[in-house]
Amino acid sequence: MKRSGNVILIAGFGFFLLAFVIIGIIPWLQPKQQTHTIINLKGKPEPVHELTGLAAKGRLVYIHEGCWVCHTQFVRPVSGEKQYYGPVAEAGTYNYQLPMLMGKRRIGPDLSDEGGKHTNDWQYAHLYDPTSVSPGTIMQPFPWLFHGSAAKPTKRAVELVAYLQTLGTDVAEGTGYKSYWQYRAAQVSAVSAVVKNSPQVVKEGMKIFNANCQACHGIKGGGNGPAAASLKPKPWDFTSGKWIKKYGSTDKDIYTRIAQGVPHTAMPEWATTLKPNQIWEVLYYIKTFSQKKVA
Amino acid sequence: MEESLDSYIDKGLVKTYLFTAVIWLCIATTVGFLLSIKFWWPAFLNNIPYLAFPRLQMVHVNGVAFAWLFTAFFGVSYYYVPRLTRQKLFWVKGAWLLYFLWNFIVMAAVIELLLGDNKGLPYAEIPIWINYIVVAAVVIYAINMFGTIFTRQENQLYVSLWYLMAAVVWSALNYIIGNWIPYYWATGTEGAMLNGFYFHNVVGMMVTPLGLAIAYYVLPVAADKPIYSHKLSIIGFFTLAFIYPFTGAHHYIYSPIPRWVQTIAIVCSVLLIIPVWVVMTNFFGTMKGKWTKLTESMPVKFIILGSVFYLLTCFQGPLQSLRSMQRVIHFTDWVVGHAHMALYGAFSLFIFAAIYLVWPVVSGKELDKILGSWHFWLGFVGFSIMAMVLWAAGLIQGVLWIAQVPFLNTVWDIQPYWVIRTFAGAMMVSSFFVLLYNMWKTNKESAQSAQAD
Repeated sequence: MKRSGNVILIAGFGFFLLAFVIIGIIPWLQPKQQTHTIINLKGKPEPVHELTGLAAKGRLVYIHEGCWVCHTQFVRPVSGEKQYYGPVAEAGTYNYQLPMLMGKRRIGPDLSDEGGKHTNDWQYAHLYDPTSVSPGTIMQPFPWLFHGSAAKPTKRAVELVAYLQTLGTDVAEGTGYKSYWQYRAAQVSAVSAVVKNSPQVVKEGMKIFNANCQACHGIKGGGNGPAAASLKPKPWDFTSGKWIKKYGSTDKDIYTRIAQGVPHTAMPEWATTLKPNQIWEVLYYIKTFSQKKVA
Repeated sequence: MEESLDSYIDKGLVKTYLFTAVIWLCIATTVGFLLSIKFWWPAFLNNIPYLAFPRLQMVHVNGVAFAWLFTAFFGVSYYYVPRLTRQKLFWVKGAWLLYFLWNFIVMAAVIELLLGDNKGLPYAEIPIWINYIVVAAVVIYAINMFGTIFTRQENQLYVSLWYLMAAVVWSALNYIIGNWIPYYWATGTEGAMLNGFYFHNVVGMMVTPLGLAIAYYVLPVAADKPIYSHKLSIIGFFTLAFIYPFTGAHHYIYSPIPRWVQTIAIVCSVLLIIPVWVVMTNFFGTMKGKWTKLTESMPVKFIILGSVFYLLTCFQGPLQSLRSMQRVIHFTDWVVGHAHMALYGAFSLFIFAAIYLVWPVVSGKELDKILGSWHFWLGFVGFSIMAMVLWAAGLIQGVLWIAQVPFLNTVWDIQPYWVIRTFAGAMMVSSFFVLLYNMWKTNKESAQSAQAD
């Protein structure tokens, strides 16, 4: 009787409640954990908005349909997640959320910054039939949120999309932009506006190309540099002009390709080594290879 | 001596609990099998809302944890508690009441989850009205267990009973903390903290002690030798009780939860190596001089394999709680593989060992050895393949995410692994059906031979 009492009182209640107080209650009392303020994209503190109306109802749909089973809302400050998804999670982001929806497994991508990433139409089409806008995805379709087609969403789909469009928009508050994605798009076009094509820029680009790119792509851009023989797939041949068709014809597409690299190939993400203006310079130089051919 | 101990046991009760538990195991893992197909064939069963991926996922997780493991834990405890206390169950009617209540809970939970009613909290998905009934069920179980142990006729209090008593208290506290507070009061990061606290404690403070209680009981009986060291049992128990509840936040490393809480969680996760290795030393010490039993006795086979997996899980766990590991493996299939190793590899195998020990007593006939070997090997090989594949897939995807590869490409890259996982899962599920058939067949043959007499 005495021993069983010890087990129940010390190990059963004592240790367990001790842990609950230390890691459950004490952090709760820290003011930093109760903040409703986050740092916005321009580095200024901004209050977070509590969800109301359609978005608040949409959050319930998000829970009901189990979106949180496959999608996290939790961007970590490590593993390049900031570049991958957007701003890193802050305590303030979550402190109106009950229950919290940080999630545990990324069967699909993180949705912390989904707001403003796509249009409502895209979201409806994606929910109705994910493969229609995202070929090859394994996401579960939700046709029961629609009246037979993506153009006819039910009230619940409207609420859900309203909720998705609010995700991560608080960081854009006070910056003049509506969402992180609008802010980021503005950043990219701001770069393109700064660096204009000129013979001087092309010359700078040539230096960068000869230092970084020619080993694979060849000194004349023919895709036949010294390292090319051992590469599979072969590096792009810039002299033919076909590469532009494959990866999009606008400068911004090519910029993104250089910046992000080509997955599963030897082409690295140059954004980690080159500055944006350097990428633009090398881009203008690369374009001269095929122009010479045409000329 | 043996006969007199058997007389304390309500055989029908144990039999019903264990058979029901294995039925739930078959159902819950079949659901898991269907889920695994959806990973590489997304069009599979995807137009019926009730069979949507997230809903089946919740049914699989809760089904395995609460329907299979806990029904079996209850059932086996109705066997070893009377024997260890030399006392009949305090409240046999209460045990039957719990049986109907628990199965009602499971069925209600399955229906609610398939309808989409869930709380949005990982591992605490079951709707709140069912949570009230679960607490009532735990209270009924607690009355029964404490009643039996407090009125025991055996002076010694064996370590299995310690684990059992503590687990009952922990289950009640943890269930209330994890299901009510993050749902009604704890917002944001605090909710995450308590959710991590809760769902790691489901494994650590509910499943682990109940599973170890079984292993501590089954191994000495099956190996026919007293437990190696009583002192190690005490150390193992109290270190587990002290360290384990601090580890919850390791599910939210690098989150806005205070950094010191994360550090405590990591340190304690690493310290968990102590109770685990202590327990394992005790188990392997018990086997000293009895290793031939490994080839002869099904319970010993399952306990030892389970112990090896327990050792591996609890070595993997501390390692993966480290920040450097978290960078790569968090959010990936690696963690899924780890969870399967704990719940299948360690604790389900402990229960299987108990079934092979208990079923002959309660049904009156030994389980078929050939079917038993099929159960063992199909499960072992299937699980090993599945775990390897999930760890590989997790590492690959984690590294590709760090390399900023577009999300869909990382999914396609690990899809072949998911196909293999389905086949490995099919092996595991079929091993459970073999066990179910074996139990049913043994029971039927035993009843027939009793009639013939």
